[in-house]
Amino acid sequence: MYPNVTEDRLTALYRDYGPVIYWRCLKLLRDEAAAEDMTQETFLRVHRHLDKAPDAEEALRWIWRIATNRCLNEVRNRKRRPDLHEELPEVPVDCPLEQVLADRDLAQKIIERVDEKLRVVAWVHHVDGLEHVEAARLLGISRRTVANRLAAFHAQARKIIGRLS
Amino acid sequence: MSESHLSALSIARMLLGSVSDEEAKETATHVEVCIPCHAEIEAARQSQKRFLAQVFPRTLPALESQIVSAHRWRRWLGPLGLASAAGVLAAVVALVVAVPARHTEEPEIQAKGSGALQIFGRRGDRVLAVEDGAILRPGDQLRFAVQSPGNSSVLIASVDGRGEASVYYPSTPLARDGGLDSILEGSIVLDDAPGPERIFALFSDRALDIAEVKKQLDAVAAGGASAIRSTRRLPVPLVQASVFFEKDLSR
Repeated sequence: MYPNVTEDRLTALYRDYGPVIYWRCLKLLRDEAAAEDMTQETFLRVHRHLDKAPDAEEALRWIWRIATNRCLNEVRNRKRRPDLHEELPEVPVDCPLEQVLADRDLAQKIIERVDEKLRVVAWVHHVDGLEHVEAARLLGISRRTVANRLAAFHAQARKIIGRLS
Repeated sequence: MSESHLSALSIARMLLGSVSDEEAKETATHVEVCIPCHAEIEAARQSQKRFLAQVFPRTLPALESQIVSAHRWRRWLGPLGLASAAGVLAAVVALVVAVPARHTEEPEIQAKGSGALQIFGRRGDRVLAVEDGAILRPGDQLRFAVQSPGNSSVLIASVDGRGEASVYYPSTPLARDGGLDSILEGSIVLDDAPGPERIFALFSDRALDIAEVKKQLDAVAAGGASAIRSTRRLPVPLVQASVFFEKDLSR
């Protein structure tokens, strides 16, 4: 068996961070059972890399990132199933992009349709409301990369909105 | 939006009590006047309460059980080590190159250890470790975890006691987010086909032809229940792993 200290640490992490990670999963997946499963999966992954687990606040960012990636993958997989495909509402052609994306529900629906590489950055900025510097810190990438990916996301979002108008 | 509302991460940090006094004061001032953020924090608190009261006590044993099960699996793979597993894979690849295509018998060198399949069963709140010969029931839910020494995709298929071949996951890309193993998304629910069922994981770097895989499974089915129990590998030159279980229809 593994040392008890490892098991105890995982239990402590699950107890301490589980509630907010569950909330995170629930927000992204909008389904209680799926959120429970995804929270467990997140902590299974945490367990596999427990030796790399940072302490205190960085631990939250680390687990949050794992949960976000896994949930967005799940959202992407659901979108592949045609019965779960949601229609986007019509958007006026002259509506500025920032204003469109300020509607978090609409932003989510647009984000689910863009390239995978751009999805996480777009989500943490437009849906979660993180500034560039916070998004960069959370995702472990540079601010420049965040800015570049958001610019690419905006270009794709304009195309998607253009098709709707 | 990012200028006017609290981020989800900020709310999480606040709930965890990991913000400075100054941040906490700013947040409280904001929440007093911002209805959406107030509602968001309330929703987060409700969700937090629910998790601690219901989800945590119910799921902790299941999580621990899955960890013990995964640990057993890793212990089995452990002595091989990643480097030696890669070596076995290289040997298998070399063999495949060396063997003329007309040879369809099993290769002399088995790929055992170079790819692994672990099945997690769920029956209500119970999590079951599904190992060779396990007894399962119709309605049990199965999830698959695989470990590949380097192949980029896996196909999961089975042959059951009725002789039916099923491909549950066509060649599916394996996650590469830092882990050596991948738990596949989604699950399957067992039907009431009686007798043994063997599940195969076939690792490859290209999409496998489903019809071809089914043909191989049909050949196993033709041998009846004993062939399903004893055929650990399909006669194809791929890294693979398999597990069989029996279905108990009496309950």
